[in-house]
Amino acid sequence: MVPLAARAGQVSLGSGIRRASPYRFLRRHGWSYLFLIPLFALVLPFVVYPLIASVEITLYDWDGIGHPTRYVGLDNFARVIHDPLFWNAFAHTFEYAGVLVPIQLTLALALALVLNNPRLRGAAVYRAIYFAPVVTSAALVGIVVSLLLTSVGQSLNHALLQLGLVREPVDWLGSPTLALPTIIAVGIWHTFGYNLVYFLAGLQSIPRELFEAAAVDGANAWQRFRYITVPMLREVGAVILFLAILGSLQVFDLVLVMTGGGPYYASEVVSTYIYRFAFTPAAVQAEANVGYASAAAFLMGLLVMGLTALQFLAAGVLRRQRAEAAG
Amino acid sequence: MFRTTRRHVLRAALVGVVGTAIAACTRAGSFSPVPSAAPGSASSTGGKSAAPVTITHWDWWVTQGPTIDQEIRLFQEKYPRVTVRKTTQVTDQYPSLLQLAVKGGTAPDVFLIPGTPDLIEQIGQGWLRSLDQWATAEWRATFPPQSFAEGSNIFQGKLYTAPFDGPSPWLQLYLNDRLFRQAGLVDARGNVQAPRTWAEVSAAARAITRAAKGDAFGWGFGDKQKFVLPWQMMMCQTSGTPDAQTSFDLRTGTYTWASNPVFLDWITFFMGMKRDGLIVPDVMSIDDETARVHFASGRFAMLIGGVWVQSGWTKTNPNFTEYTVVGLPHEGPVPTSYFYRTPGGVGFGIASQTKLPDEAWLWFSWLNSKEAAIRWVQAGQGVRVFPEANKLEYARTKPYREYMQVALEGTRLAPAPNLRHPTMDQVKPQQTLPDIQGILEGIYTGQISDWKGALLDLQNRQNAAFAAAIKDAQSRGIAADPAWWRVPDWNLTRDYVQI
Repeated sequence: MVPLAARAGQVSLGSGIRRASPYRFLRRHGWSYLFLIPLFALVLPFVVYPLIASVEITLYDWDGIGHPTRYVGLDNFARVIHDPLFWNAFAHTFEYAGVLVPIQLTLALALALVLNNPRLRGAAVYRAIYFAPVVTSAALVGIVVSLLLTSVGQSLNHALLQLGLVREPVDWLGSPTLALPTIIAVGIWHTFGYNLVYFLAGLQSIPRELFEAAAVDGANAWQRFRYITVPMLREVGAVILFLAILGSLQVFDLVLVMTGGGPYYASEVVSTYIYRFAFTPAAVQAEANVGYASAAAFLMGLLVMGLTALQFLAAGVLRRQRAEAAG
Repeated sequence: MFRTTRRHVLRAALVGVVGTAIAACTRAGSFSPVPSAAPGSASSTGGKSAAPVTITHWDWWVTQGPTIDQEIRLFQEKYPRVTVRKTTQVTDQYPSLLQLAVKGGTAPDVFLIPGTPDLIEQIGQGWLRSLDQWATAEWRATFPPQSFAEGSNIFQGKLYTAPFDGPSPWLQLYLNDRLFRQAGLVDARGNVQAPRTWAEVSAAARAITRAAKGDAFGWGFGDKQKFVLPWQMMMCQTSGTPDAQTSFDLRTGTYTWASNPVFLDWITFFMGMKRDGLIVPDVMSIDDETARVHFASGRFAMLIGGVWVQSGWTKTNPNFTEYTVVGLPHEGPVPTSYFYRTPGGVGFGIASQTKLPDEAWLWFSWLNSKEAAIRWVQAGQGVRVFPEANKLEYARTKPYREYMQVALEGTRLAPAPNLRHPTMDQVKPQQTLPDIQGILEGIYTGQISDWKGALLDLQNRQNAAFAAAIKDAQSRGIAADPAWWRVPDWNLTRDYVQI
């Protein structure tokens, strides 16, 4: 009998390990690579190439028409760094992520715990209901919510006035103090379903025997959550946390549709700041500056890449810790 | 027996997707709803082909859409061989979409020329085709004098477009008659007492808001799309500034947000109305289209808008006809400046990429004909460049007649130094933020408390950007003398005679 090695592509023949032939390797794993090709075919031209090409554009003053000809060197980067509106947008972006992520993850985990109850009837229906906003376009959500929040027909303000909770209509999207919190609230609702499903998957991967053994040992619900659920969810939780942070840092559609970054930049985020310079609306009657917008995007991209690298590091550390604990 | 596994299903799905994609790509390259002229045929080289063809038309006109559709119908009745396929693009993104189409080789045959980038740049980038082969002296003579001018629609002797709109103040003040009557603001004959000055606007707004007891307000607008607040400030256009949109004053060659007191005066007046509760509370959250519906529904009594709002109401509020149109109110008892026009003008253009230039010219010349202009005016879409089309008898409603009266009386001829010095258009100041839209937002929402300081900061930034742009143009070998931007002898209340 010939034992097989654990690692793919290798065959153990008694005392030695011999690498499989290319034909055998392809036959075993070819379909996997074939299924990856469409993804690479899209990522390369729409993500990798623009990233590389935009680096050159950052060195030019270019309105997007024709080819860039006016070389300005690092001037665009200097202007971005010295622009208080950029840092204002930067702060708002992190404010958005800083408020949205903890609230959303807490709610998602709580609801995942409820949905993970095997005695709950219709769990699949609830899951679908909570996931439905995720599959709805953010722009569409922004438009509909904007209509609900403004005084068009029977809006939220009308309801609040009828209930006597407010004395006059609230300018949800036009108030500098309410605009960003309103967008955050909509953002929490819109992408909540993603994290709910991730947490649910993580919970369902925890062996039931652990809970049963803990229950036999007299642990209550909180103790089971504290000493079994939380440690077992740490690794997947770290991934969820970083994905949520990265996703929220890239908020764009909701802000653009609901407030356009206003009033007076009170809800401006980096994405809308970049958009303002790259695609100046005709109503502004000003020239676009794609080079400047690219410089701002590049700076923000560096930050997001840095966070992504941190995510990989953190996940690796947690994985090693778990392996050591298991060993 | 063959067992279907999940792996087999996935493989089949992948093959199906790839096969469909290949078939779609193959089919897309040859798709055409109507056979177009083949390269080298009479049509593509400027002659006429007997085969039916389709030309594409782009604009951003929504409320004007039905009128253009009517023109397409009439055109196709006369020229059944030519089909016009119209696309109405999003206003805000029109320049970007057009640019992308040009880059992708799919530019529309005939398109409404956007305001940005500059026409000279669009021509330099090869967006537009010269009309000289068709625009004979005879054709040009059908237009009124000064319709064509080097530096406006003629560049280096070649004509690229023709003026479409007639000279008119592009914004007017609309009054909801019912709310005015409810507040008792009518004269002895029962006509609405239209406010002519800012003080009268304030007084009317106060009376209306009080009479409505919370159900309506004196003034309203919708600034969610971030361009309507400056429209409110256009009340300065008739109050002593030649350009209330940019504050650039050709008499001094500088931006004048702070040095011309009219802008601060207007802000003080407008914020006074807000403070007194005379303006709809959530104006910053609603867009312009919604605000127009609110106006027609009686939520507020005074709205600044263009002639396009009238045709919009025929769709959204078809029973709403009780409104009055007057010119924008001015600060003092009489206007001290006007809306201005210059020789030339820009309208539609023909793409240089067009494979159907003759057919494109047919449609272009149809749109720019006197007959189409008369129908345009009769449809309530505004005044046109042909004086023969702008007769008051063509107005079918009282508000439209009022608009035409405002249009025909409200403009003066302005200096146009760029016609003498075409390189002026190559001086492009960098956009500096916050701009006037941002500053007005900040003032209106209370985020900016030092109004004068904000206007002075904006003025200084824009003047610095302008000076830097002139220096930059000069360093690139482009002739640019700051003196070209100064016309100190310009009297704002009279037509300027170009020498």
